[in-house]
Amino acid sequence: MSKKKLICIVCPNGCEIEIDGDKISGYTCKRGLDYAKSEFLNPVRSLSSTVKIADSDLVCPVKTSKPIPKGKMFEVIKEINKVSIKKPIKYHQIIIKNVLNLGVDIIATKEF
Amino acid sequence: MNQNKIYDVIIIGGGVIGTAIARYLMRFDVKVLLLERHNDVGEEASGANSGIVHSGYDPKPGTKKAKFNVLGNKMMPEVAKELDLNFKQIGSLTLSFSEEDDKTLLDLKKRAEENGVDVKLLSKGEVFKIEPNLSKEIHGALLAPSAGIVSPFGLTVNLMENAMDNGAELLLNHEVIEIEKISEFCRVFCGNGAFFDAKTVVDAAGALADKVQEMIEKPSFSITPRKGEYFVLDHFNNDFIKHTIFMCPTKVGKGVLISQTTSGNYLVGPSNDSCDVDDVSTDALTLEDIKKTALKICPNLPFNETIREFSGVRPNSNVDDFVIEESKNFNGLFIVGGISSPGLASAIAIGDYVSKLIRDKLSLKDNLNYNPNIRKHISLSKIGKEKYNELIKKNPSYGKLICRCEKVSEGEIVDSIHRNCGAHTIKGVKKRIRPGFGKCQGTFCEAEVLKILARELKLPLEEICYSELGTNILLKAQKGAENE
Amino acid sequence: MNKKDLVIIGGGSAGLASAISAYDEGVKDILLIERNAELGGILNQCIHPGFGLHHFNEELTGPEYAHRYIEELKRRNIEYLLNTQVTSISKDKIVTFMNENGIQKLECKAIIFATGCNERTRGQILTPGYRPKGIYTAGLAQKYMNIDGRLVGKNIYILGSGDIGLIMARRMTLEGAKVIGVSEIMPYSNGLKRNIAQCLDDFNIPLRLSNTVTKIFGKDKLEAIELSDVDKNLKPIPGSEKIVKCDTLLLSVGLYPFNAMLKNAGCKVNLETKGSLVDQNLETTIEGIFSTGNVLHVHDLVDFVSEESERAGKNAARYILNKRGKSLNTLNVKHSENVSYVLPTIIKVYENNEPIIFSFRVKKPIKKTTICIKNSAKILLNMKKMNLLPAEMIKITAKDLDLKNSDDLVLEVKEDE
Repeated sequence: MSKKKLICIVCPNGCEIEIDGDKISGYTCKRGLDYAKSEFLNPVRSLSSTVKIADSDLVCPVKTSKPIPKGKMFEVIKEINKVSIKKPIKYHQIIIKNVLNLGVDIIATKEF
Repeated sequence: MNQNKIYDVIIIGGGVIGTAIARYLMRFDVKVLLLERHNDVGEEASGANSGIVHSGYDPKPGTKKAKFNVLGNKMMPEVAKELDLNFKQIGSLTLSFSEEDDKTLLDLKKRAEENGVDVKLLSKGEVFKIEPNLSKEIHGALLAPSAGIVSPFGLTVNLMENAMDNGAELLLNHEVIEIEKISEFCRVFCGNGAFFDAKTVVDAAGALADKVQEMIEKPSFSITPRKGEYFVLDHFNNDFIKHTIFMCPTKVGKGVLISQTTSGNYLVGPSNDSCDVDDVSTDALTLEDIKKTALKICPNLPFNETIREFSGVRPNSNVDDFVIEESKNFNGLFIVGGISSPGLASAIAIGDYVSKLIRDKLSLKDNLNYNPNIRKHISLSKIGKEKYNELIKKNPSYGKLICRCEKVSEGEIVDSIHRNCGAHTIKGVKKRIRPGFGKCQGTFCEAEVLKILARELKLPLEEICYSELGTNILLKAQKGAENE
Repeated sequence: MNKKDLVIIGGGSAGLASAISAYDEGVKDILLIERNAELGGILNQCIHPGFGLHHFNEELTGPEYAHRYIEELKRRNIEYLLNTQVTSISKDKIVTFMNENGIQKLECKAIIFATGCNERTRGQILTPGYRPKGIYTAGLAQKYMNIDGRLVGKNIYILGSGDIGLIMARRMTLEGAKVIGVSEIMPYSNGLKRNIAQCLDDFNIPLRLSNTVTKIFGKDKLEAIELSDVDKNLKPIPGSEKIVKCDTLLLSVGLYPFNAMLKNAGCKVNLETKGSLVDQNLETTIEGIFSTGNVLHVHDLVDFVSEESERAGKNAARYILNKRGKSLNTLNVKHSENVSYVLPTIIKVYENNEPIIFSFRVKKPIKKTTICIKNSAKILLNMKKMNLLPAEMIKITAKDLDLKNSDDLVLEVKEDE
């Protein structure tokens, strides 16, 4: 594995963390180390978007119930964009169960 | 549109001149069609100028400018009533900063007397009594009490609305590209393939008036467009400057003016530079110059209250006067061009005059059903709380404020859409009744206005345009494709 | 005239938190007035996560953050009106409002003004050129995107690295638009680090610092923009121009309190924040009129809006219930040159003073600093902090300040080596 750099975003200090093979350096706290590990090994992101509400000009905001692999964001958005849901929509109602078999649901973040 | 119908008059150009001619023509028994190349009337000079109804002291005595300006100013109070416009005769002050300016003011006073305009020279002390925020450097000023302000776009739209109320027809997005004489009438061709026949044609094409004349004959004048850039300040204080403030005219031009608008904003400008016909861009250096000059007139003018900058193109011409004439070679063509400042103040007088020329030409009878009044606009500030509450009971949408900066209700927006010459774009609503004109510049209300437009015009959201055709705000929805 | 103990204007994060805390402090006769068709304010269009880390210790989206407060409001049966616009407030605390039932007036004992902020627009930053369609504030584009599900364009450029702009860069990219880049006139970003990393870096969207839009092209529709580098005085450098084709320009160039109504009522304005002048109770210069949230000063995190508004609610309730002692004297709070503003600017000294919370922002990034609060006689509080950024609001809580015989206070931010 080659050298990689990233700016830590855990706190405003903004430490510059470097990874070289197995060696991680430049962090100044444990949270920074954890962040760097996850960013280098398996970066994940929470994703939010909207789904169409049937018979309405509005959309319903949704999110992933857990962070998903960073590389899967566009694929998940594609799935979200296929869906159209009917009212009433409950808060945290599951809109798509286990999206793309990632073990993560798409849930509504607002009620309609 | 019935292509076989022969109109009595086709007016080319929906600026304040074209719409004024249309309005006054409707006093007669006449078929009128107005062709406008943009997606609304008043899209060029008529929608982007100082909004000053000059008193008429400035134009050279004996010119058409002098005649129509003075007349237009006198006509305006009544026309404003008929057209439900807010015309405020706030008076103008032309400032002197030097002995040379003092002399100019004396000359202007003489001119005013010749033009039949009431003016008064004020001493420095007298000026400060009425305008304490002006520069301490001034020597004195010439007061012209009859000068006033009006919404220039409002005047244009309401003239057209009234013309249409009385039967005139309007076609937007019809750019005239060719005019042909066919036996007794003229055939006017548009860029979109449509053509229309008429006994007479009025060229009121503003900055393109010479180009329109050129479609038929050698133009009698040429337009040399001049650009004017402006600052718009928020309505921070209605007493800060109460009159329209001019600088003394010099060889270079009239200089920068500071004036309130009818909505209580302050307008600062214009610059005066030659430009292309459709160049309405602003530039940093010009604006900086305007600012510098304005601060000389009024050192505490709060430019931090700026909410917008804009520019408009004045249709100046190489003739030192308005061009208002019937073509000598081409029977039935009327040229009304080069209507630069004081064009707004003169528009209604020109409309009146040209409509009578055409009446005489075509021996038109009076229109016995002519109604000079448009349906009144309703707003809280005009009718007061009690009456407004009754209105809300009848029509709750008047109780829903859409624009919080300028306090415009949904009911007013709906009304502006369903009038003759009604609003059908975001800009159209904005320029008619002001949502989007305030400090937030539509940040809060544009999305609401867009939905109201779509609902009232029965169009999908993505078909609502900002201004011209093709300026759709939203892309098509791409959500929920699978289920549809 | 109808009467109310407390009227709260604005049903966003600030208004909701104020209402709940005033209720819990013992005032039950409350009316909350919201202009939109739903409560939650701007949180409703902020569908991204990142809210609540301070307040709820978990990461919520905007609608979820609002939901929690709305549930609390409803549980207390606090009265609220939707689709209702307050049109004026008078100095004797009469609130005039309008809705589909008509125009009404209400006489109240106290008012909390919580109407949020506006985005700065093109007119305010003076970008020359044409005025075509295609230029939006980031917030308006966000509303179209997240409430109406519509994009405003396909090829986007963003001016200003404020957080809304960064968030929109990610949202529009995810929804299929191409975000070409972001320009920031300052030599540092104005957004949170996390947003630079997750909204720009994740999608390889370039951020150009010390760069701005100097010209707009396209008469009816936006066709292109001209970018220029700027010098130390933020003036465009001739020769550095670059033309970028795009159909949309989003502006994320700052926010300002929408404070006109309070100004018109006669509340004095803080010229630095553009909000009202307030004391540590968040009370304006008119007794019984309080101001909180983004209409008071622009916050970086909603969590801090909630916290401030809870104080406003509590203090308004204590005012209504006559629980507040008489103040012994009044001090002004000033600040050092490198601070852009500090709140409160007025401190009322009581027999028993509650901890005073100071909020401020610095003018430029400072690595290591000592913050102190002092009067002419001595230093009252001294603390070290790292990495102060203009984008971040700094909050310090001062307990047990001995103010009884104090003269005016100064908040000083010293740069340490």
